[in-house]
Amino acid sequence: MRYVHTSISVLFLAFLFTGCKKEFTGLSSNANEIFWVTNKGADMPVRVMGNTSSKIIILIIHGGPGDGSYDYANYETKRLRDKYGVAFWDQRNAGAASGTNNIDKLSLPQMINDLELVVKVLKLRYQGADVFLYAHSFGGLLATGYLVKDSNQNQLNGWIEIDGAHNYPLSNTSSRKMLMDTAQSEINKGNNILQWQKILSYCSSHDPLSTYEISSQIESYAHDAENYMGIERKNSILTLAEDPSDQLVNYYNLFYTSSGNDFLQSLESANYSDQLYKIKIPSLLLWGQFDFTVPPDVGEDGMTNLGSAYKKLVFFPHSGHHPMETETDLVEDEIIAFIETFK
Amino acid sequence: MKSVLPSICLLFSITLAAQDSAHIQRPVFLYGLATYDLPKSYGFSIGTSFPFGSKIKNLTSSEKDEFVSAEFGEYRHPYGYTSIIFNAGIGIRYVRSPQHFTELCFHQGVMRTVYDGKVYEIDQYGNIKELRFFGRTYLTTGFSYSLNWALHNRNQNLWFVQLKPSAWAQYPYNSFLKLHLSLQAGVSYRLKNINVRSRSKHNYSS
Repeated sequence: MRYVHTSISVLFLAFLFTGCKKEFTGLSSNANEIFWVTNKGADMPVRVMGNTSSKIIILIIHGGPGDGSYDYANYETKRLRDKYGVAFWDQRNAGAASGTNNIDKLSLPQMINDLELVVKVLKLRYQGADVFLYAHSFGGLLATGYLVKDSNQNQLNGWIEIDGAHNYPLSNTSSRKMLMDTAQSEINKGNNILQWQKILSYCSSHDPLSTYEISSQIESYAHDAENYMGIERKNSILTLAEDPSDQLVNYYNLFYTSSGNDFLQSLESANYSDQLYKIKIPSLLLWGQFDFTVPPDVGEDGMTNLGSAYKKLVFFPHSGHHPMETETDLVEDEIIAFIETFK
Repeated sequence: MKSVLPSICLLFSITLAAQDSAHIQRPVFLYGLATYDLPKSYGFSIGTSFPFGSKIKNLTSSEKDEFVSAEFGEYRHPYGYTSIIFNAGIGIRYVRSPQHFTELCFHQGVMRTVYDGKVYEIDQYGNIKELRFFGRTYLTTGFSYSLNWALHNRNQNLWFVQLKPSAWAQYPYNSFLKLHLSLQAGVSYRLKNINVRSRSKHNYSS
């Protein structure tokens, strides 16, 4: 009987220590809390870190698709977290977002709907807070899709697009052109001749608008090109998700299932350039000068077409597709100045 | 002529195997383990295993006990979820000395997650509502291999230290399966012996 009592006590204590939950405890200068938004089969975590007592929330819309927001919860947003609350949202079938059978729901309109819910919940949870979007790469496409829909933009004080792919066809054609121009220039200079010749040869004979496979190969060369130009990222692919198993599942779904492939192929024609005029809120566009994946032409396109009274495009001369990693201080300076102006 | 072939055979080494069937007393175990699930989850589990068969090899003195097991566990992924798991398993225990045995077990179970923090959903009228204790139910399948060492160097060992690595899958997770690698450590307790059917294998050599 003594054993039974001891065992029950040990079990109770173990459950008490391991089963606790982080609840929202109000605004804080050093918040670290989580909530979830569940929608159409996907349970998406939103981890809020930093200074929520500022009543300013920056919502990270990560790239990918399929990557995760954990990648941004490092030094890239350290100063932003000191000053503001930063919400790290994992999109459906990305990061630690979970669910049972949901891959068939993966589509851009569904993800835009998810983002609508996330912003609504943020506004409810942090009542009176100013919300800014921080959209990177694929997140740029998702954010523009959200902003041009209905009156969604009225929920926000402004948005920041960092190397955002709001126009995939333009991004693909510009990527090819930039790769070919740079390849020729680097070959003439005698830098990485064999590597650049391979890229030049492929890009000269393949149109990224013709098939998804060609577009993917050119994107792969675009990442290589950054390395050849001496742009070194500090992060690795292993940091994309907190749990590598989640990342395996997400990538498997995207690249090895018909639903994932259909989704990726549908993005190849996604283009919001002709609707950017609808966006009236302040816009800050930050671009790496050596971004071969979503080239500076796409940023220029944003500047031309956005309907915002305030819009600013900043190029970072020592960056590729991830200026927040390679020129962190300058990127954060721009973001802080932007938020302080429009909060 | 009939005796020629057996006579030739006698020139070589011959092994004859005979198998007896009987009943034997084998132990029921209880165990309690702390769990670490990569990369950062932790929890505990308790379980029991019941023998239902045994194989004994007389020459090597090795014993193989077949058992079924049931395990209840809980683990927590910080800033993620808390999960409760119930597993049923079938396995083989290899006993090579009174101080040490190992177990290989295949298990199948059910897992229920409950997310950390509040969970929000929008209803059909566009209102945000909070869901209490929201989570998902998954199936689990996996293998574990446990190593057990007696805590006392005597024949009547009751307590064993157990170390149990395991690999298991949770599914359907985002329409696929999520792999887990876990390491469990704790103690197992030899509760009592019960009668099981034993098959003894005797080898005779010439």
